[in-house]
Amino acid sequence: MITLYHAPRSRSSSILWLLEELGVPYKIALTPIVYGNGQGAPAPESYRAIHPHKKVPAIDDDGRPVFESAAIVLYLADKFSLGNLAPRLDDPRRAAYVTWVVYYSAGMSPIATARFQGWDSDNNTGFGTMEDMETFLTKTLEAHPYIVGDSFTAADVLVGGAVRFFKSNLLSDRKCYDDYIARLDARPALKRAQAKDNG
Amino acid sequence: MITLYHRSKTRSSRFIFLLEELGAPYQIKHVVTRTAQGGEPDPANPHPHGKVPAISDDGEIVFESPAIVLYLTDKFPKNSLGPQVGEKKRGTYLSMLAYYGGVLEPAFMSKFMNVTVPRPTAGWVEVEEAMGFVVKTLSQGPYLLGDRFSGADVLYATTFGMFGQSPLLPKSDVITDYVKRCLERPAYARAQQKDAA
Repeated sequence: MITLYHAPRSRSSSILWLLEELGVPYKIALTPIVYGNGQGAPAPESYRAIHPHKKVPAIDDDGRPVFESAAIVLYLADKFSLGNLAPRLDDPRRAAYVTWVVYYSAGMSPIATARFQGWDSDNNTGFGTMEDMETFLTKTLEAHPYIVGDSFTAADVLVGGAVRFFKSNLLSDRKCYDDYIARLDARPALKRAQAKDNG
Repeated sequence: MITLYHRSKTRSSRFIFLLEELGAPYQIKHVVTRTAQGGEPDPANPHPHGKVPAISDDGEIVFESPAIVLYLTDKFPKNSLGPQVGEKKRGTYLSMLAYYGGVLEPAFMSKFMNVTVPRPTAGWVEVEEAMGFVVKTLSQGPYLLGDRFSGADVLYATTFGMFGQSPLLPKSDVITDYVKRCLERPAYARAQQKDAA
């Protein structure tokens, strides 16, 4: 049985969405975090056995912890939906799939943080530029409806979640972003996850 | 056939190390990367940000170092460089790969840029906190997955080896011994020769 360590309106909300997409049994362990506005409280020290920095999301699969969004998405989709939400290892789309899952956390997320913090106002940061990221994102979403092709994959949970979150304040106005978000918002599993987000 | 898009003595060098460990057929294609000052991207380089490494597997592109490691260790399981789907340590392996890209690299970069990590909103933490976790993990080692050398060690050990005595990396005997252990491997020596070629 999967346990999701979750805090409402946080990065773990994407994993809640993925679990609904997968349709597997899971339970939610509501986990305190300190939010960006300073509200909330740190998780108890015992939680460090699950996540080394006491952040969310993390999961526990019968006593085996997995942390970092990219790792959790890869783990769950391979375990429960190989050949569907995760392209099989011999599927040509596997290359783009693992790239986008990792790019979400190692590329998009630091680039966005750097912009929010104003670190990139004078010079390029070492994270890559917002312009390169948007070029890559736009080119991909203008070529096909989902991030790795014609069908929805677990990578869309992360990339789609980020596009929705960044759209209002960070990304340019582009039809491909609006269409992508509308496509994702129509998914029943997302609605179910949103209804469960408070635990 | 795997093509590694490479520039000598950069972050792509360690993928020669990994490919040698895997015993996988590959070719190296040298490309020019953009420098901090900018410049035009090399049209021969498929990386969307004009960086290295990237690989092509018969035309399908993978980039981001942890993604390349995972892709390659899944595709070439012969030498057991990574737990496969369903294996016991798969979750730990994925966690350590993702942690490298999502936490460790951004932590080093933040320190290099001399900025304070906004802990609640950023996906990562300060170098000292991240390295505390890595040192603790390796203290139970000798490798990130315990007694088993894996593709994750290729990322971590080469990174720490590259930093050497740099003040960016907090000093630790555990790390020094770990780097030595990993870089003593014959595949690393072969990779160094090919990198220089």
